[in-house]
Amino acid sequence: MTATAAERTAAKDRRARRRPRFEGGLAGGPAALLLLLPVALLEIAILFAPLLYIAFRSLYDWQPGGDSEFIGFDNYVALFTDPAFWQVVGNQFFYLLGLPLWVIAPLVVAFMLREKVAGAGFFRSVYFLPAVMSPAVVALVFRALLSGDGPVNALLRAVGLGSLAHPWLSDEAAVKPVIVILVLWAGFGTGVLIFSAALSAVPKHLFEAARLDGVGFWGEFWHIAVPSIRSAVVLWMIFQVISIFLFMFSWVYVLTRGGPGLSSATMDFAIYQEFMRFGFFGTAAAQSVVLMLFIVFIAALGGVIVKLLGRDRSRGKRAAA
Amino acid sequence: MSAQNSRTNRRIALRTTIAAIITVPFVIPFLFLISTAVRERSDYIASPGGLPSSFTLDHIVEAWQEADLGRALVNTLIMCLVACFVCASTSLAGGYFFRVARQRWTGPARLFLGAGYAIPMVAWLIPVFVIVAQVGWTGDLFVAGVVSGVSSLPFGFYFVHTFLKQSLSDEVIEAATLDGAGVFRAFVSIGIPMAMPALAAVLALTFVWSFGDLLVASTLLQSNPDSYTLTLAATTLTTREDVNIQGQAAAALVSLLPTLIVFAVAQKALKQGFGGGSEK
Repeated sequence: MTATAAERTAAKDRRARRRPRFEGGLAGGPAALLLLLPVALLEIAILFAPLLYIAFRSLYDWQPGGDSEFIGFDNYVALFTDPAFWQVVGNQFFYLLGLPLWVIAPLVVAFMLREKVAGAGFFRSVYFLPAVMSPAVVALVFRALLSGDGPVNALLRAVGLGSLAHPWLSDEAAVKPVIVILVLWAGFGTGVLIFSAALSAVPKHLFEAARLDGVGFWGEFWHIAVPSIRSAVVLWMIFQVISIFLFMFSWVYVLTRGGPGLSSATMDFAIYQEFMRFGFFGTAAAQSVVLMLFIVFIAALGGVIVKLLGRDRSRGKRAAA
Repeated sequence: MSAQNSRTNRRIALRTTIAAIITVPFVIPFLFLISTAVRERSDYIASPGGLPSSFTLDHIVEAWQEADLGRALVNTLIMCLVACFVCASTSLAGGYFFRVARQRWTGPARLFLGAGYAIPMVAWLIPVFVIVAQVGWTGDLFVAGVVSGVSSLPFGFYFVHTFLKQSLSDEVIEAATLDGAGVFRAFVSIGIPMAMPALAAVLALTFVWSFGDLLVASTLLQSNPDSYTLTLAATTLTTREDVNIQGQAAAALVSLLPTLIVFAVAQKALKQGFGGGSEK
């Protein structure tokens, strides 16, 4: 009892000592808030307030600039009974099937480049190129490469594989897998960079010990490399999943315009289309809210996974000690 | 021992070969783009995937004039500079604030503002467009630049904050504030100089992102062809029936070059920025 009381006063002492240092010394008092003001104001005015506004408008028969009538959840009902909406959601989840590919491919290559590969830095830079280029413009290039009479098909015919030639982007069965591959192409270099940085922090003796045990390339990969950098792996997974929900607009807009039909449309593209082309403002607003909820759900799920992994690791440490 | 050496050598050779093969899909689209932009039309039709046997700059000149790429380039640069200024200046101040302030609410506030990154762009851009349209600001490059800059702001300030957390110690901040310097003097005298590598990385990425942006441009600038950016001009060019693939390739080539140059120049700064100041 006395011990805890003493601890408590000690803690109070520490807090008391810390307070002036943090609130006065480091932060510089209320004047410091002026440094925060621009970020906070701009984000609230341009990101958060519009989000609230569109959530509010999703309950109206929204006619920007005209009379909007309050209709409760009718927009959501219309959305959920529209097969087109479910097709787009289905596309979104189909694209997510590419996740293992988007994670494992850069992971294996980062692991392979880890030691003694001549010019590893050069290779990483080449893989990283897509990250610095406009997705819209790169998509233009791929549209030409993959068109019916484009170079890819010409090449297939030239080597006698003419039966494999496809109108890659206007064939309903081929277009989604093609986009999954293109997403791999676009994100691969960033993944390799992130995993290389994470791997370089793993103690070398772990790999050396494994080699003495003769576990081989894949053994080292699955049993040492992947577990050692799992938080980077999970982060990259979350990042890729969010990218599929957030940043596909340019690709889809340029490559296929969501087509054929709606078979390659993502939610962000569909919302843009509903709003800017067809003028279904209310349902576009409702769909924006649904998309936001998807993202919150994914982020929460990712957070839970990260937490579970963290607990796992600290338990492992305690067991080792 | 030598047997083991030769095994190691063989392994390295194998890995290098595989790494080199993987570069092929990253290099081919560029070779295709460049060769298509500079070869005759008949030459392309004869073998779209083959090597060019002719050389011409006509397509680039044509596309430049048809899509008014010179003007589009200037427009894009104006938008990018505004975006970079907005994002970099506010990121610096905000990142430094979260480095030094540690009241109970600053942690959650930081996460809240950082979460702005995960708001789907269409979800906030459409209402912004509605308001901008009502005020009559569509087609304004300055407005588009501010909006584009704010879209990279959640990343930018968080990046500066993380960088300063690693590179700027409490002692240094205390020393700078002890002699009576206010928080702004400390910000200018140590905050800004210490954040330089992070600032360079934020600038380079904001430039690359707003240069490559299509969504902001096609929403806010679509109505006014005089303010088309490069991506908008290039993608609009390709929807026209009368423009051939050589013209498209030429427009694409012109729109890719500037970011490649910026990236090449900023590569060292990017490395430093992402290394948290540890790579000097």
